Amino acid sequence: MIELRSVSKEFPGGRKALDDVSLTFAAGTVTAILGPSGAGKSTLLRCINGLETPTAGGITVNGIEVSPRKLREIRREVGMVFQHFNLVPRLNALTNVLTGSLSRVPMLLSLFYAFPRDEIRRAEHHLASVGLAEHAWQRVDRLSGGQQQRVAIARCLLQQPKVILADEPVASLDPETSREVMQILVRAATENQMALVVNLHQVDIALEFCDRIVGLRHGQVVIDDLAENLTSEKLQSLYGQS
Amino acid sequence: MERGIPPRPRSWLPLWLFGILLLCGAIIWKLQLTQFNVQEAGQDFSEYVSRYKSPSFQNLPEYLGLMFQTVAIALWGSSIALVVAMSGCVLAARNLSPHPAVYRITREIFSFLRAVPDLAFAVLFIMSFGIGPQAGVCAISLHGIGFLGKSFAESLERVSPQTYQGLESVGAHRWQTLVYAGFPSIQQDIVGATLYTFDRNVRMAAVLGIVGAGGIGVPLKEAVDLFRYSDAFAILIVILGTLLATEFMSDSIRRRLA
Repeated sequence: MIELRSVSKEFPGGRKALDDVSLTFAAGTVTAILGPSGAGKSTLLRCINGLETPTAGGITVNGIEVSPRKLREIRREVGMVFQHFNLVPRLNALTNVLTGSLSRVPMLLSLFYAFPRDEIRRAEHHLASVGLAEHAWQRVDRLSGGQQQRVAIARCLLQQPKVILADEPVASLDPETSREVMQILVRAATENQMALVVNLHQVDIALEFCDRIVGLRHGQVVIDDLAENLTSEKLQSLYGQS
Repeated sequence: MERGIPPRPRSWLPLWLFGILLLCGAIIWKLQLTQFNVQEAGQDFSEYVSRYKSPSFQNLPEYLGLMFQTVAIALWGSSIALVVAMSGCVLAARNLSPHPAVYRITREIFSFLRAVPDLAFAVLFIMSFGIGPQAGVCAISLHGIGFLGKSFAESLERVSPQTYQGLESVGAHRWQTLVYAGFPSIQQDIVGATLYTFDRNVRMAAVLGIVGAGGIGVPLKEAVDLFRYSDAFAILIVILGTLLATEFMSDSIRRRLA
């Protein structure tokens, strides 16, 4: 589903954020990317959806080669979940979810906030599936952090991507809400046969919810194993002094 | 070794204040403002005001008609300004503009329109297509386009990049990003600035009549020129009442939308 072939990314100034990374992520699997700050986790995700261009190597998403010319085509296939939700604060929850369909609905009508009936029904369905049906008409800046992230997940589902990339999706939520949100995210991805890649910095959450764990350090893959073969102690070594 | 706090950065405020004070002194000295006798001026003023004794409302229907025309000029001017500014502000917002050159050019156009006083525009239009409310509408909308365009563009720049990023991540088109992330986020600024412009435009439209751009200003200038103080007084009361009414209205709209 996602394939990275010897991807390297060097920033101007010589800092290497990714160093010869080769990984594949299959449909219906949940992978956590762990590693200390600056290990290249965010850069990895940003390369996959084309926000950054690798300096070496290639990436394909669902058979499409990621390149600056195919940005919108790629983004249609790739759903993003962000740390700060990146919703439109002044729009209500349902409209925020509906924006997930913008790349495929009639352009002119969409500029007047008119959506096809089946898209609205689908949006309502996804909003209900993340447990927010009764908040549909509420402005999202009136919702709690956990609720906002669930709206963002529903938007992502309406987009119907093949892949979901989540960049620290629970980093600004409290522990209990984090578990709820992770549960919803993982269930949504596996039910819809999407590949889910999550950047995390909580080792316990990664072990609890993800099938596979990739450890990054100085831009290199140092751990790549099934979660059941790993322990919290083994993963802590990722964060130790180098 | 422990390092101490570095010395406080130097503040230039005292120097500025000193400079401004010096300038004020120079102006007083140069214009010989000291000769301006406050008492005498007060007497002159109260003598003049005392001529406005009793307003004469004989021509009230005519005044109300012209006042309505003034409000209509302001409304048309504001509406045209709103539509043009909303379409143009996108080009003048640094984060949304298709090209830096387009950004610079539209910004400069807005700044220019805003910098030219409506009165100057009105004189220009009266000279080109004659006395009447059309000149007033054109003058007011040109100035309004500058003011609103620049203010909307600045609001769009203040919207968090994360909001735009969320829309871009679902593969939204540029225009969709604007309609779903940009405008809803600055909705309050749009309403506030537009109501402010309308308020201001009613006042401006009243004044513009004095140079011949239609509305209530026309009979006001006539009455003052012909020393018909009771008529002038009545017109002033009509203007004041209207201004209070429009201000009350826009305040209540703003409060409801906050």
